Amino acid sequence: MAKYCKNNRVLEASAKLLESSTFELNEENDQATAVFMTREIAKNAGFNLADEVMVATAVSELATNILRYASCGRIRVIVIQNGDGRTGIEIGAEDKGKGIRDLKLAMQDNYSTAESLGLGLPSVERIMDEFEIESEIGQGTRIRARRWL
Amino acid sequence: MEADSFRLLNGVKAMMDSGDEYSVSGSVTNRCYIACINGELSSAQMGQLYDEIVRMAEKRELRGVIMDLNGLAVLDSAAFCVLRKISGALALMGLKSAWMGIKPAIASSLVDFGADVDDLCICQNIEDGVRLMSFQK
Repeated sequence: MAKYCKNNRVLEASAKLLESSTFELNEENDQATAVFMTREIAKNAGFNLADEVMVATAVSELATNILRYASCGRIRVIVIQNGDGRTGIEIGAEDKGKGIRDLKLAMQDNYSTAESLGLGLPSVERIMDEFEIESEIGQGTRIRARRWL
Repeated sequence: MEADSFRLLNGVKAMMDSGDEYSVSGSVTNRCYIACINGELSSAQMGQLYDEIVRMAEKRELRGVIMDLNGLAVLDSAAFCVLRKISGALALMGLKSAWMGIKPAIASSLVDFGADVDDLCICQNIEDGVRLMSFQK
């Protein structure tokens, strides 16, 4: 399984889970639901409007990728707290699609196998404070990303 | 918290059922078509939006199109790409286009995700847009 982490930093396993919501993605309306709900979750967790939109944009990017490349999958939005009591949002996206052949290439700006600008994954990495992606050909892709308050 | 989430989810479902999750409405002022885009754009809806705007531009003798984005909940890179594509197609048809009403939070996310906004024509309101359509070369 290939793995890539933002700044070569693996996500800490010790973050405490405060609240978790899972969104199944099977059709396009599911994406709108996930985005809408993520904004509400981020707002309730104390994020300001700009950060709330930022986190929802990351969910929208990941949902677009899942529906476009894997047809279906799920996104989990979790409110977490680290050891210092700092609150954050973790987004987990997973699908059982074809997987990504070259993760380093996929994380480069303007790389895309579909008709798009190829900004999707690099933009999620930029928007979020922590980001990791694992993918295996024929098995699927799993992404976890965190943004802290 | 779960009860709140459930109520919220029901609210979203009601919104989806009523078809309010995405809409485009438009009007023509001074030969400029003002397309108000609301809600959250899915891939299929983005394709539909492209068709609607380009078809509208072809039908009428327009000078340009102003895309009012004030009603958008978020703007991800796929939706951004379609809006750019619409502006590109309109330019090839000899029409001008301007984006209007980008909310501060969406502007921040666009900058943060590295969207190239340099060559876009942005206006603050309809008057600005119509003026730009008149003078833009």
